[in-house]
Amino acid sequence: MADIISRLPVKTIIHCKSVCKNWRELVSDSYFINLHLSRSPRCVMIHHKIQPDLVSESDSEDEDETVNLVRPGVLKCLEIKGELDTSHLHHAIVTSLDLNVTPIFKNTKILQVGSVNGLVCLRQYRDEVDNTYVCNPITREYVILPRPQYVGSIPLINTYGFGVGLVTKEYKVVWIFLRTIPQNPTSSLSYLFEAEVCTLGAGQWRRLGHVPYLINASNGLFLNGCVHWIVNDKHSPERLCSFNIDNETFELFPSPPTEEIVGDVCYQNLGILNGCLNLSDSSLFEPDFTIWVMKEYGFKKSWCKEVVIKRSIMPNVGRFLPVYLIESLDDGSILMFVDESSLLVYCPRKKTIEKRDFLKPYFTGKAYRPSFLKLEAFEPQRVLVF
Amino acid sequence: MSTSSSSSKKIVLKSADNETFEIDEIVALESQAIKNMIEDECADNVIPLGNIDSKTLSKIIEYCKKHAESPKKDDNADIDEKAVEDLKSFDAEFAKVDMPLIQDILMAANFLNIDNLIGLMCRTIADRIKGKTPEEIRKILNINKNDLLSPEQEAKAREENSWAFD
Repeated sequence: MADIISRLPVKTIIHCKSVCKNWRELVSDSYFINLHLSRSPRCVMIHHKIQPDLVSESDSEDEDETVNLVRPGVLKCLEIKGELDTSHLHHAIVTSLDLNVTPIFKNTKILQVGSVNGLVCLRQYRDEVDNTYVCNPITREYVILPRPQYVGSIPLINTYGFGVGLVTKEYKVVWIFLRTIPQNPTSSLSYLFEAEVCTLGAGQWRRLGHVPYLINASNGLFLNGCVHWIVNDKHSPERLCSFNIDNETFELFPSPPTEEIVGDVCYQNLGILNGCLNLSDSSLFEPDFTIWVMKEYGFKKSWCKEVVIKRSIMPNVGRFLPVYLIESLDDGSILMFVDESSLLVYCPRKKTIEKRDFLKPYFTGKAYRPSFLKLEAFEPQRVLVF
Repeated sequence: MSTSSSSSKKIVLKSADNETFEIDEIVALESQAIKNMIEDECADNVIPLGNIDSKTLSKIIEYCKKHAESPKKDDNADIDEKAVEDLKSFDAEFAKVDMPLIQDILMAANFLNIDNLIGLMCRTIADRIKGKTPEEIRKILNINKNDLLSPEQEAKAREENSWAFD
């Protein structure tokens, strides 16, 4: 029976919970949860930020809110399917979670850090507020992580990573921040990257000390037990570094040949295509938009220029702004977004790139697999429900 | 049931209602369970299948025959697309039976360990209950009335997952 139910869409699985006692137990069993996860369809988690048209007149009583447009937004899980031979895209909403109506998020902003096995890591911030959440948008459960050990002025650069260990199977959030250190006569260094890590269920952050790489500020990308970042240092022998979730160490990570990565780091992004790590480069002074793919994980020579898109065929918006890859679809086309407002679809077979308008600005998107993974496994962390 | 040349080895399967089916060994080997029995040499000339009735067993043999005749994926990397399509349409036709028979075939396929058939039956059932409400699913699968949730439990389940019932 688990075999049958695990093939169903998320909504029907939830209906199955009400069918009979047997099924209710079956669906919350870890065997079922893992089986379902292994079959879970490729989805995209869209985070709609403030939508201007949603700020209706009634909201204007709270002047502060409308002036600053400080709202957490809406998380929307979409299943997007390409159709071979046509450029048609089917999209269906699997679930939608309106953070605007959740009291804990009122008047704050939310940032999607990343997701693994259906769990989504979110960062909440505004002025003095700075919290990290891990939630499952399908079961509606969430936990709030404790405060990091670092106290002091808000760090200049913050970046997070979220992942699960290959061996330990522990879920961890890692935080890297650039902190100011008081001027020391013997050292000219006034800033230092430091890191802390929090294991889900452990109840506290631990200091990892100094991180010896100039890490790019965008959030880390999780794959294969490690979180990866771009190293923003032209003199570094590798342009990537990784954090191993199991043994909690930072290392340089094989990147495409450094002599070929000459563009501006702001235009470079890490992503995953068909299970492989990729680095996309849309730097302005490059003639093309290039997607590098690491065919064999960890093997430097396996990096290749998988996709090269001529800038002349890029839609206007994509020519001048960083492009973020989201996911590859079952028909081989690649989803990406630009400027938090435009969804682009590249079709490798036809070598075309088109803009799609079914998502309203402003949004970010990340690859996501819906799952029924329960957060109660991470007790004593208190599990709350949206 | 036997149709092929006399040279190949025959296996006889006996259903719960004592009907016998003589089939080529190659057809019987689609079942991992029978394959194991033959390899372990613990199969007599007649293999009794005391929990499978003749109606179900004849459907299963029909399926195994078709699949045994078709070229296997791992035999040849570039098997012609037509064979794949042919098998696909056979599977689709094969699955067009009523729910009780599908459930019987699934149980038997599970017992006989025929992976592809288990997958096909699971997909078929999943397709039939996809997008249905709990009430509809109960009706389609004829769920045991003694196993239903109490009205309170059901209300609670709905409340916990209210977004999925909009």
